[in-house]
Amino acid sequence: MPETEINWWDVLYNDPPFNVHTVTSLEYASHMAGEAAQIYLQQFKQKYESSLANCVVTTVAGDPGTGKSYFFSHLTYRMLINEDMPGIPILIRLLGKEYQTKEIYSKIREATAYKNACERAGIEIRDVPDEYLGPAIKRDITAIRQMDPHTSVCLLLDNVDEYVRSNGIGYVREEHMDTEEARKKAMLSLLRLVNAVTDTVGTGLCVVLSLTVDMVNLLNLESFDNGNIFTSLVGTDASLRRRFQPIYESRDSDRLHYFGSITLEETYEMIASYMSSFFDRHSEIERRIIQECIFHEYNIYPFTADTIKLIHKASDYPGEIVLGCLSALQRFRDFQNYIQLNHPEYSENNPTITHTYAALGILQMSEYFRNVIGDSEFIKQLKEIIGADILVLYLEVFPQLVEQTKLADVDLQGNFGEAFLDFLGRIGLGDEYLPLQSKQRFMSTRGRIKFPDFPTIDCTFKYKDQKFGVQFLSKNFSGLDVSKFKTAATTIKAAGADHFVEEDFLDKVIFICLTKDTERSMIADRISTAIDSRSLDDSTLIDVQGKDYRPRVGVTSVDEGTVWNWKTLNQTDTLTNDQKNMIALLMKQTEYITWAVRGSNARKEDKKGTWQSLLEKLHRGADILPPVRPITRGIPPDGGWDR
Amino acid sequence: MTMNILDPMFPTQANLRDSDFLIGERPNRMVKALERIFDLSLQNSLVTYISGDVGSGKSHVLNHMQFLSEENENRHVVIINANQFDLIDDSTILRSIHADYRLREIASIDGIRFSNTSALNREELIYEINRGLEILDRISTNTKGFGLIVCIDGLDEFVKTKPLDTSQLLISIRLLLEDIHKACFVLSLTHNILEEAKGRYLAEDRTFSRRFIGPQEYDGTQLNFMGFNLSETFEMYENYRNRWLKRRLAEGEIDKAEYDRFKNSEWPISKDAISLAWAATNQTPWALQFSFQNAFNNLKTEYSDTDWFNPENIVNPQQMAGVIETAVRRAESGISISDVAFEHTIRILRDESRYLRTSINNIKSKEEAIVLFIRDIIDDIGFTIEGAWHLPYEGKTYILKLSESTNSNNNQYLGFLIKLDSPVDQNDINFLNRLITERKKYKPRYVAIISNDKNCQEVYDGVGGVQRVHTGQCHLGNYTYLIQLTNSQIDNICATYQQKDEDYYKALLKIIDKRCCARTGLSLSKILKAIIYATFEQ
Repeated sequence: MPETEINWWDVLYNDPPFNVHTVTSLEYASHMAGEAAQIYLQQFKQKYESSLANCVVTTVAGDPGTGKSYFFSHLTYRMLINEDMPGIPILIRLLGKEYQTKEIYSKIREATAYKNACERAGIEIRDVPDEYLGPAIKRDITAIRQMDPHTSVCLLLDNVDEYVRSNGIGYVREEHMDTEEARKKAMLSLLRLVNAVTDTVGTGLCVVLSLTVDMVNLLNLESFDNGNIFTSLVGTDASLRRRFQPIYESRDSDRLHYFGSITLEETYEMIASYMSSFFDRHSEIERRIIQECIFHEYNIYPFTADTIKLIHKASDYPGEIVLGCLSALQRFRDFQNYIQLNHPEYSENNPTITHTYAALGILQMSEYFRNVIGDSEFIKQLKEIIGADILVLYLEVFPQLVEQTKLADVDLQGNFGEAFLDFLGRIGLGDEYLPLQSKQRFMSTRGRIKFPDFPTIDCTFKYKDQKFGVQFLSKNFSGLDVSKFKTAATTIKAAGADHFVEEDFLDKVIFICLTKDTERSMIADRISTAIDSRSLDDSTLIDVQGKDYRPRVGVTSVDEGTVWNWKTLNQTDTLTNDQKNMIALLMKQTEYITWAVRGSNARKEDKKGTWQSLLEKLHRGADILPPVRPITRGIPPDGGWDR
Repeated sequence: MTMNILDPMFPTQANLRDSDFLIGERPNRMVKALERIFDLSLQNSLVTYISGDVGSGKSHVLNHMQFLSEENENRHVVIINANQFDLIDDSTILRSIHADYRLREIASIDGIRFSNTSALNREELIYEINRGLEILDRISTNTKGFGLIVCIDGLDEFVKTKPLDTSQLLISIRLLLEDIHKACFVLSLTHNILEEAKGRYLAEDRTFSRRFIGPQEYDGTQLNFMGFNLSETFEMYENYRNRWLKRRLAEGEIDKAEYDRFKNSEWPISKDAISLAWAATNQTPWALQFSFQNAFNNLKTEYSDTDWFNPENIVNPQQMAGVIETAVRRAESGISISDVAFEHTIRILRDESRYLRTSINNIKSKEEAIVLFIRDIIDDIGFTIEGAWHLPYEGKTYILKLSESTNSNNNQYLGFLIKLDSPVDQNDINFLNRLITERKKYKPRYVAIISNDKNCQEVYDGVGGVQRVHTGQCHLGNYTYLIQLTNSQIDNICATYQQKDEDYYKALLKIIDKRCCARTGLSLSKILKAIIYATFEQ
C-alpha cells in the first residue's frame, strides 16, 4: 500500500464490492459466478429472443441466496451498462397487495430505462387514460423496435414468494381458505395479471418470475400433467401455454433450472472478480500479490484462500458467501482498528483477512449459513480456529466468559487475591515469583489496629525473596478500606526489624484501587496523598518507626472490568493454560504511582508500565532513614523500632 | 427544606431522562452486536430483535440507542410504542415513521418538508419517507450513508389487551423491508412472541428468515436479556440514586455539601438490604427498581417531615424484607421467596422478636452458646472442626482443631478466650501467653478474645508497646484479636443456639453472623475466616 494514512480495510469496509440481498450498484453485478448460471444465461437468451415474436413468461428459480435477485441486476448491467445484450430491463419488487394491470403499466412507463428507450426512439410519453396504458406500451415497443429490432422489454418480477405469502394470508383470513389453497389463489392472481399484460402487449415483452424452490413445489411447476398451476390457468389454450417457457436444467431436461450452489473454484473466481472491481475503483490501494491470497489464477487479496474456503464450507450459495465475506471484513476491521489504538505493538504491517475472522462472522451469524446449523463438528472447528488467534480470543470470546464468571461469582471482591496472584503467575515473572496467601488474611499488628477496625491483607506473594502484600481498595473507600490502609502501613516491615513472626510483616505493599474511569485518579490520589502524609486523617496517623517507607509502596488503579478479567482467567475451564497465559500477557500493562528517592526525599511519580516493572521498582525501593533518630519509648528488644 | 417527593428515585418504566446510560455487560454487548446488524442494514434493510422477560430492560436499551443516535448525524432511531395502537401493521409503522418529529426535524434542517401524515396514503408515505432518507443519505458524512432504525416496542404490553397476529406483524415488516431503503427494524419481543415468530412463520420462509437476524454471541448462541449480577445491581442503585440527588441539587433543594455527603453514604438503602432485594427478585431491572422504590417510599412514610432525608436513616434488611413480603403477597412480577432457606430469612427479618426470644434459663452457659455458634459458623465457611477442647482456665478458654475441607491432613488450632461480664486482666494475658509459647499439644497460632466489656480494647494499651522480655514470649497484640460483642448480640447468639428447627437455625445463624461485627464492616464469619487463613499460612 502506498504511503498513506488510510487503512485499506476502512476503505473496503465503507465501499465493499459485494452486496447482500440486493445489489446497490449495477457495477457490482458485472459477473455471474458458476457454470450453472452460465447455462441458465444461455437458455435465458433464447427465451428472451423468442419474446421478440411473442411475449414470453419465464422463470428464475432457486433457494434464497442463490442469486435470483442478483441475476436481475446482472441482466440490467448487461443491458444498460455493458450493452452487450439488447433490452429494456424493468425491475418490479412485488409487494403484498393485489395489483391491477394499470399499476404494472404505470411502473413500466415510469421506469428510467423505458423512458430513455422512448426518448431515443423519439417517442413522447404522454398521460393516457388507464384503459389505454396497455395499448400505449404496445405502441411504444413497436416504435422502439423499429430502431432496434432486437429489443424487448424485460419485466423482472422479484419477491414473488413474498407476494404469494402475504396475499395468501389475506385470503386465509377473509375467505377462510387453507394456507396452501390461499397461496395458490394468490399465485393465480399474479399469473392472470401477467397474462393480461402479455395479451395486451402481444410481442416484445419478456416477463421473468423469480421463484423460490418451495414456491415451485407448492405450485407444482415441474409437472405439466398433474395440476400444474399454469395449465389450470390457461387451460387448453395452446397459444397461452406456449407463452409460459420455464428454463430447464438443460435443453433436454424436464427439471426446472435452479440457481444453487457454486463450487469452491467458482467462489474464488467470484471473489476475485469482486475484488478486481474494488481495486479498479480504488487505485490508491495496492492490490498485493501474496501467496496465501492466490488460488490458481485468482487473486482474492485481502482475503486468504483459507478464508474463502471456510466461508464456502459454511454455505455454497453465492448470497451467503458474500455475507460471509462481509461479516469477516466487518470483524477484521473492528480488530485492526482496536489493535492500532490499544495494542499498536501487535499491529501487523500487511494483514490479510484470515479464516479466524471468517469463523467469527460465521459463528456469530450461524443461523444465516445453511451448512452450519446443526453441524456440531463444523461449529467445533470454527471455535478451534477462533481459539488459535489470541487477540480474537481476547476480544471476542473472553468477554463472554467474563460474563459467565459474573453470573456465577456475584461478588467482585470475593477471591480477589486468588485471581490476582494467578494473573501475576501468568505474565512471565519466572521462578522468582511465588504466591503465598491468596485469601484475605488477618495480620497481627500488636493491637495497633483494634476492633471495630480489622487488620487484614488481601493477598501476599514473594518476588525475588521479598514479601509483597496487596490491598484491594473498593471504589467507595469504605471503613473497611481505611482498615486496610492502616494495616498495610502498620505491617510494612521496617528495615532492621527481626521479629519472630515473619508472616505478619511485609517488605512491600501494593494498593490496588478499584475505580470507575471517572474516579481513576481520585481514589489513587487519595491513597497516595494519605501515604505522603502518613495518614488518611487525624485518627489514622501511621508512623513506621520514624522512617519514610514510601519507596516501598505502589498504588495502582484498576477498573472493575480488569478485575473480572483476572477472575475469569482464574476460574474458566474453557481456555487452555497457554491461552490464559497469552491473554494475561495482553493485560500486563498498568498505571501506577510510586515514590522515587531523591536525596533524603521521596518524590511521587505517575507511570505507565507493566506489572513486572512495578514489582521491580518496588523491589529496589528502600526506606529513607530519618535524619535524626526519633524519640521513642525505648529500643525495642526485637531489633526494630516500635511498630 | 422543600423536597420534590414525587420525583421517583428508582423509576420502574424506561424513560428518556435516563436514556443516556446503560448498565450491564450483557446489554452493552447486545448494543454492540446490534451495531453490526445496523451496519449490514445500510446495504440492505434488515430486521433484528431484542428479547427478554417483561421488565428486563428492553425498552431502556431502545431508548439508549435513540440517545446514541442523537450524537450520530448519520443515523436516526424511531421508537414506535405498539401499545398506543389498536392494530400494528405496515400502515401504522409507516405513519409513525413519517410522523416522527425528530426525523422531521433532521429532515427539515436539510430542507426536506414532510406533508401532513394523515393526509397521505401508503404509497405517498413511502415516497416521502424514502425521498427524505435519500437526501439524508446523499449528504451523509458516512460513506455508507444514512441509516434509519425503526424500533417497535411495547409488544408485550400490546398482547395483554389486544390480539397480536405475529405473522401479520412480520409480513408487515417484511413488506417494509422492500419499501424503506437502508432501514433496520428492531422488534422488542418477549421470549414467547419470539418463539412463536421463529417457529410458526420464519421457519417456513427462508427468504425472510435470512433477513431476520438476531444479536448473537460469538459462538452463535442468542444474546438475550438476563438479570443483573450483584455488582451491576449496586451500580444501578447508585446510578439512579446519584441522578436523583443531582436533580435535587439542580433544583436548589440541597447544597453541594449535602449532595456529597449523601452521595458518599449508603442512603437510602443499605447494601445488605439491596443484596436481599437482589436475592428475592429475578434480578431484572424492573423487579429491582420496584423493590428499591417501594423501600424508599416506606422510608419516607416512616419518618416524619423530612427526617427521611438523613444519611443515618436507611432502609435496613428488616424493612426490605417487609417490601419483599408485600410484593410476594401481591404476586408482583419477578419477586419470589420460593426458596425455603430464603423464605425463612425473610420471615425472621419480618418478625425478629418471635425468633430471637431468649430464655437464659435453658442455656448452660453463654460462653458455651457462643462457642457452639462459632463452631457452626466455621463449619459453614468451609472448614472442618476435627476437635474441640475446653481448657480448665476459669471455664472460658476453648481450642478448636480445624482442617481445610479440601485437605483434612492439614490441621491447625485456633483459640478462643470468651470473657463476659469482666474485663480482660493480667491473669488472662499471662494465661494466653503461656498457651501460645509453651510447647503444648494444642498450641494455637492465634486467639480470638470475645468480650462484652465496653472498654475491652484498652487491653492492648495496658500491655504497653513491647512485652517481649525473653525469647519465646510474645506481644499480646501479635497473636490475638479482640472482638467486642454487645449484650444484645450475645443474647441473639444464645437465642439462635436455642432454635430447634434446623432450617430456622441456619437462617438465624446467617443473620446474626452478619450483625455480630457489623461495626467492622464485616461479619463474624469473615473475621474468623481471615484469622483461620492466617493460621493456615504458617
